[in-house]
Amino acid sequence: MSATPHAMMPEATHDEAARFAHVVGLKNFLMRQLEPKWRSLVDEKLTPQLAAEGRDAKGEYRSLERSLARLGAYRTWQQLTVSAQEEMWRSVGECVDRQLPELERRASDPTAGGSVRTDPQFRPPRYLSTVDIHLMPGGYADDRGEGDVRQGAVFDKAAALYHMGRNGGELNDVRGHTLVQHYFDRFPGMTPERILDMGCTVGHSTTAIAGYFPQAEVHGIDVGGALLRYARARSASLGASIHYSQQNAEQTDFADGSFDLVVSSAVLHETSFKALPRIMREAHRLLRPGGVMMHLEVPLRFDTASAWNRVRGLFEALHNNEPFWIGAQQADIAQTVRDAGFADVASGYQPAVRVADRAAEPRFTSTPGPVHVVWYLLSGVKR
Amino acid sequence: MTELDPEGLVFRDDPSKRSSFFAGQADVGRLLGMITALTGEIAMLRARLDTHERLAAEGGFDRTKVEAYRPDATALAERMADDQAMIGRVFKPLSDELDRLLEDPVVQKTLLETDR
Repeated sequence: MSATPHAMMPEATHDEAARFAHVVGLKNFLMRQLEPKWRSLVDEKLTPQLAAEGRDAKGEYRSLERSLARLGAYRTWQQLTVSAQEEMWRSVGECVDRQLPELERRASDPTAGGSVRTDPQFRPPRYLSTVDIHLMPGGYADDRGEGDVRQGAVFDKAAALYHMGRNGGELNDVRGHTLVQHYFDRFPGMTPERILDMGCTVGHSTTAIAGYFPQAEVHGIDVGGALLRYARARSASLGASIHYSQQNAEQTDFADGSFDLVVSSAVLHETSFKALPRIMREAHRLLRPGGVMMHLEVPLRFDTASAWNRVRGLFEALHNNEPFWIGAQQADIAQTVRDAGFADVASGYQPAVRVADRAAEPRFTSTPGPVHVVWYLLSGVKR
Repeated sequence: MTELDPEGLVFRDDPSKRSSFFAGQADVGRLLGMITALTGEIAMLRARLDTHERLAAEGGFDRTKVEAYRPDATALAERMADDQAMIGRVFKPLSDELDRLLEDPVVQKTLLETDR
């Protein structure tokens, strides 16, 4: 068996590890070998020809997508992209199921730090329940009852494959470190005592953030009991005592002014136009005066996206089950944050880091960059 | 349906069903799914063979040694490169078709005839 980064990570056999490596290779081939050809066809061939007819390819992206779908080759590329994603979940699920009793035994250790609070009456919002986001069977909310950690184990193992090593390998915590670097860049003198991570899944970012503030009380909320039970055990095995609870970020049961720092990591694009202002108002309510809110998001904007990027975005939304993918890129989230009452609102791009450094020269910038190289960061202060 | 709803969300016509790209020919989609899975099995067998060869070079192996073997960074990089080449060979007809489309002005002209 291979060494694992923490006690909860499912171990892969020789053959499972080989299948995982191949799924990464297949996704790499589809994304880096084939997709550039579609990009070239749409952005370099079709866009100029449409422009010569006085037409705007970016504005016509929906009909262009239907046009492309008349090609068998395009439908084959679409199907293979979906099949590769499904193969990832299938192979990871098989690996997890083989060792699920052992993972559940480890997660039930009563001496482990932190806590988990689930709510059998909890219902996830429509934007998370209508389809299984990322095609993960069962979705974030999948829960087989008390003691179940399956979806957490599946999500954790797959996330490292999904990001193809670009989010910090098996710990998948670059986004957590990047959030903290943003905090240090903007508020170098501050140290939070109570922290909330909204939409924490298995605590990838939560645990990384907790590591910088060992005196802080750290909470994470999400919609799935199995995710949260796994998250608690994962954090504990990494030395962090984190309190997880099953709650909707739009309306939590924490008291007013409970936190000094409220964050989310790649969560907003999995919400909705209606949820965004609610989440911002809830974060405002939960912060004490002087408290800071920060959201990390994918650094993509619809207005500057090429025709191919829009077609690709539509594919992501419809077929990788990311229903708010385009909406989030169109939303003026910074304005939503100001409308919620936040002051000193800043939005821009934070270069991804593997370790945050309070003493580092601030690198928060208005210059965009590629996904995983930079992240879009939005932050504000409650006055 | 590809318009965003009032909440900014967009779903397939029937979100409860899997994406289907081959209307009336669902078997084509299933076949591609099977080919995808098959390349995974080829990759796994190749990795196993590679493990055998590397352990043989070290003086021998048995099932336990094979199961316990994990490639180091160099060996893994070699495997990943071999895997990319295998994938490239299996899906060459698709890749070739894309290259052809990029140089086919007639098809490109038909793609401009959208249903806008």
